[in-house]
This record gives sequence, structure tokens and C-alpha cells, in this order.
Amino acid sequence: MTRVLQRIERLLAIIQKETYQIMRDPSALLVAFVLPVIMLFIFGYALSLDVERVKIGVVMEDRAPISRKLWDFLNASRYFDATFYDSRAQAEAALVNATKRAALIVPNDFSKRIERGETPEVQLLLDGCEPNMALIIENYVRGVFQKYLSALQAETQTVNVNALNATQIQSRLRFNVAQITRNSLIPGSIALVLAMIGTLLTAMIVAREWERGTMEATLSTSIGLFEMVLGKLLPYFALGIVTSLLCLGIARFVMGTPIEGSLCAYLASTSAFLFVTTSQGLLISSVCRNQTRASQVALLVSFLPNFILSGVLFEISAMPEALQILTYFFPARYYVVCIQTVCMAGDLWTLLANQIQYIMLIGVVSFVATLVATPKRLI
Amino acid sequence: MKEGSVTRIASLIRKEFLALLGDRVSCVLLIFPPIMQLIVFSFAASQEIVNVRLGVMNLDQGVQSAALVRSFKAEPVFREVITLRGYRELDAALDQRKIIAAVVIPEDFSQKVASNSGAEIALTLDGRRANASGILGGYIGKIAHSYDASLVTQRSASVNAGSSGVITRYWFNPNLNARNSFIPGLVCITMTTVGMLASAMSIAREREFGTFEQLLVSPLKPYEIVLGKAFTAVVLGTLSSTLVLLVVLFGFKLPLHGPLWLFYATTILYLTSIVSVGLCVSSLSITQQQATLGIFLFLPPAVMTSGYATPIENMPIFLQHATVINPVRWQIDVLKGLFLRGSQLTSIALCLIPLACVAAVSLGAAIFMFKRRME
Repeated sequence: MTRVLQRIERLLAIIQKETYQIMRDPSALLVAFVLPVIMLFIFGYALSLDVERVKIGVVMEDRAPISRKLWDFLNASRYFDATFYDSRAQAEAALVNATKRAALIVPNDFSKRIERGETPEVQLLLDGCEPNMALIIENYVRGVFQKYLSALQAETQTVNVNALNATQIQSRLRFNVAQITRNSLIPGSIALVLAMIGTLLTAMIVAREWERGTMEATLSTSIGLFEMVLGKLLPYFALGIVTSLLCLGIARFVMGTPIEGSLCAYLASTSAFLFVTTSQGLLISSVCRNQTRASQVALLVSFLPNFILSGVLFEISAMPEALQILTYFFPARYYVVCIQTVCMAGDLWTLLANQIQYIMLIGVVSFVATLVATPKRLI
Repeated sequence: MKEGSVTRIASLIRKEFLALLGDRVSCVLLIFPPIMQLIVFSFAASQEIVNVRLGVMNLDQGVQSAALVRSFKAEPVFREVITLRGYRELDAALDQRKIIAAVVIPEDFSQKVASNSGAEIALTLDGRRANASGILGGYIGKIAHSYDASLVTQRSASVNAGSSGVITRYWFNPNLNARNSFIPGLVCITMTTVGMLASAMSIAREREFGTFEQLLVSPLKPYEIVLGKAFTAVVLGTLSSTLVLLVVLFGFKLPLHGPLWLFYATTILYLTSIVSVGLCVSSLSITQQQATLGIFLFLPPAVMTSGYATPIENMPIFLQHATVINPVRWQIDVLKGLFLRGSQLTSIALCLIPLACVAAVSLGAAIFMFKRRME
């Protein structure tokens, strides 16, 4: 019994020491509190897939009033920021210079075709550099064109009927009914932030001790390996939990993201995830005994891979098989599912438990690897 | 610059390179992982929607709805089209993420199609995966559109086939290949990562190791030290970029439509601006930990507001103006221009001005901070 008490005492001592270190170097606190706010703000307000005010150049080779009506429709739509060009060459130059994303060319037989009762045609040139934008803009243009044709039909009865009765799609969203992209991106951004912070905060600790020589002092004490590693992990784990609560608070009260699930579910999945990321940071730190290297590895491992493979911005199901298999090794992938579910769907415990078990599996492996990699001797 | 300046800077550069080459592991870490990430992530970052499961609930008994369901099943995008038998099954399947979307075809579908009075179908998307659902919504729209077109050609072959009258041509990336549009962005991120890593650690590391004092007692002036370190980092970055270019040209077979000299000129300018920011961070930091955290405060926000993941035009206007000072944003424009549009100097000249400004301001700030810390 006394041995257990002694172990707890030593553990508490290390935790105390690490806590003092954090408080004396406020840069860790800066990253733990400032970076999440910046990222949430960016994900909440800057990143958007809602396309509006598309810069489109319009060339009217036909100047008849009936053609000008199309220009009026385009101009009035909030989806377009239309500019008038005198010639095709000018519009094409704008595409090459990337000042416009699209060019709509109304040919000179436009009004004549309408008079003859044929469907008029326009030519749309799209900048293919952003394929998804191109498709969305194409749909918008078709939509505006349909409206124009309907208006003509109402007035003049000369438009080809087949062009009008397209199958309509009534679309609704399950979860996130207001379809604000923001509501779906913000939980994802919390996941990304915690992924980066967890690894980053702990990646420098052990390496720093090696470089400064204080590791030798620590090793010469009676502290056990398990207590040392756990003691280094816990303060940063606690910091991460505070950060996650801060993020949740900002998301809920400042950005107005509705949170359907319970705090308990959020904390359960977040704790598991923070356990993994802090363990991985410590692992990096123990393996690279050099701060420069540790920070390089931490940056390489926690920034881009989490950004791309977690499923927040890029759909995992769209990736090739090999990459999909790779994502199974990244705990962020499971955590993103958890947090999206907790925030937008509610407490679906079967789904959550399923994901958390994988996170914990990776966590335990990382922790054990850290124990193996941290030597208790100098040689 | 005074006389001995060049010699002094040259000696500093030599020392930096020697130190770098001595640390083999760091070299390797700086060059190979970014390239590996470029290769791996080019396959990941597609933002296409493929391999997803669609649920279909067909309440209609007619022939036309069966034809529509068949057209969904024929789409290569859908790995599986699951038949749903009730709303409860539909909701459960969506909740558990077994399907990404569900289509409900109402009972009067075939009737309405036969009478040419505009039928409706209901589409329910998983709102948790908002970007995927949005793109999928557009996709299903396209499928419905081709279904309509096939109906029209069936009805009367002599009528102007159901083109909605908009003839589209895609410029610069005619197959709308998503990978081609992401690779320039990934190249930029790789350059940025290498540039920042190479520069941000340099001054802070010297401070922690105590070799900073040795620099101070040398005849080197502050601006010479900063310029020397910047030069080394830029050279390293350019080397890395050359490797990256080779991978893109020969591995991914994405040709560089713009001139090669322009690629190098802009890369060097961009690397200078990034390295300057890194040196600024480094001169502000006392410990290496602070330098690392500084990189993290800059890099992710800069990359995310650069237009890499989502277009800049979608941002609120005031944020669009704010991205003007983001060098990553301009370099992505430049690289897309060079790789995809075949831009010449005139097209991208406007992008180079902010890069030069950032470089000048950051270098100045780094030198200023450096002087202050010296005192």
C-alpha cells in the first residue's frame, strides 16, 4: 500500500513540476488558447463552399433587346458578379488572367433563333482550374438560363417546351437542416486544432530535457518510467481539455453552432483523442532527442496529414484504397466522426463507442511505445 | 553594402551549410518527408465524390421510376445503391452513416413523367458531411438532367434534343481533373513547410546552444547575419522545390505550361518571403519551443486562408481583403497560373508585388528584432 502511495506521490511531484514549467513559459498557453480561436474563426467565417458573386464576363454579340434581357437576369442574380465585355477576345483574356472564372458568350444568332422558335444557345467558357467551382457555376448558369426561358415563354409563347419541364429535385438535409456549411466545418476544425495542439505541446518536452541536461537529473531520482511519462502527459492533457471546452464554448455561444449532443459524450471522445495525441507527441519527443528534429517531425506529422486524411475537408471514401487504409491509422479520422455526430446528430452511443474504441487502441499502442522509447538509463 | 560585407556574409553562408550538412538527419527530414507527403496527398485531395452509397426508396410502381433507379445504379460514382423499404430504415441508414444520401421517388412519378408535367423526387443528404453532400446534390442534379435528356430523345427524335441551350467548354483543365487542380496547391504547401522549417529554427537554436554569443562577437552586423541565414534557407527551399517539380513533371505527368525560368524566379521570391517570416518568428523567440509554436501560429491559418481548400471568392469581402498580406495565397495563384493556365509574366506580375512586400517587411522586422535582442 505504501508503495502505491509513494508512486502517486512521485507522480504528483512530476505533474507539479511540469505545471510550473508551463506557467513560466506562456508560449505554450498562447498556442493552447490563441491558435484554436484563430482556427475556429477561419473555419467558421473564411472557409465556405457556398458559391456566390461569381465573377463572370458576358459578351453580347447580339444586341437585340430580347438578348439584353438575359444580361438583366444575370445581373440581378446574387450568384453572379457580372461584367460586360465588348469582345470575345477581352473575355478570353480575362479568363487567362484569372480575373474572371467564367465567360458567357451570347452569339449573334441568339434573337433570330428565338424568333424562329428554336431553343437559343449560348456558349459558356469555364475556368477548369477549380473543377468543383466549374460544375457549380455551370449549374447556376443553367438555372438562370431556365428562368430566362420561362420568362420568355410566359411573354411570347415561342420557346421550345421540352426545355422547361425538367425533373425537379426537392432536397433536404438530415442534420444540419439550415445547411450552413459552417455548422459542419466547425466541429471538424475543433478536431484539427486538438490534433495539432496535442502533439505539438508535448513534442518538445522530453527533447528539451535531453538538450538542457535536466533529463539526467530526472533519471537519477527514484521515479519510475511509468510515473515519469504519465506525469509529463497529464498536465498537457488537462490543458487540452480546457482548450476543447473553450472551443466548444466559442462554437456554441459565439458562432451559434447548435450542439445536439451532451457534454458527457463530447468529453468522452475528446479525452480519448487527447490521450492519443499527447502520447504521440511524447513518443516523437523521446525518439528525437533534439528539439529541432522533434519540432520538424511534429509539424510534418500533425499538420498536413491530419488536415488531409481526417475527413474534414476531403472525403475519405473518394480516396484510393491504399490511402483509405492509411487513414485507419490516424486517430483524427475517428475523432472527426465522433465530434460531427456529437455536435450535429446527438448522442448516438453505438457509433461513438465504436469510434472511441479505435482511438483508445491507437492511444494505448502509442503510450506503450513511448514507455519503450524513453530510456531509464543514460546509455 | 560596405566592402567586407559580402565576404562576411559569404563566410556565414559557408558556416550555415557546413552545420546543415553535418546534421544529416535534419537534412533528410527537411527534404524527403515533404515530397512523400506531396505524392501521397495528391491522391487524397480530390474533393470528388466517388465510392459512396446511395439509398433509394421507390414508392412508385411504374416503368419510368424503374428507369430512373437504373440510371442511378449505372453511375460509377455510387459503389452501391441500397434499396430502402421505409422512412425508418432511411433515417437509421443515414444516422449510422451507411449511406450518404437517400432518394425518395414518390408514387406519382411515372404518371407525371408520362404526362410531361414535371415530376419531383426528394433527396435527403447527410448534413454532417456538408461539403460532400453539397457536391453530391449537384451531381444528382446532373443525373436527373441526363435522365430528362434521355426522355426527350425517346419521345421525339426530330425535336431539338433537350439541350438546355448552354454549351459549355472547360478551359485549362478540360477534363476537370481534380488532381491537376490540387497539385499546384500541394507544391506550394511543400515549399512553405520547408521554407519555414529551415528558417524558423535557426536563430532560436543558436540562442539555446549558446553559439549566439559567438555570432555577436564576430564582426558580422545584424543585417548580414539575417541575410546570410535567409540565403541558406532559400537555397535549401529551392533545392527541395526542384525535386518537387521533377516529381510533378515526371511522376504525375502534369506539364508546366508556363516558362521554367518564371517558375524559379517566383519560387525564389516566394521562398524569400516565407523565410523572412520564419526568421522574424525566430528572432522573436527566446527558446526553440517558442519558435516552433510561432510556426504553428502562422502556418495552418495561412494555408487555410490561401484558397487551397476553398476558393477565396467565397469568403466574406473583408476577409478577402485581409488575405492580401498572405503570401501563400499569391503563390498558389502563381503556381496554378504556371501549371494550368500557361501564364506569362504579365498575367502574374500583380501577384508578385505582395510577395516582394512581405519579404521586405519581414526581413526588416527580423533585422530590427535581432538588433534589439542583441542589446
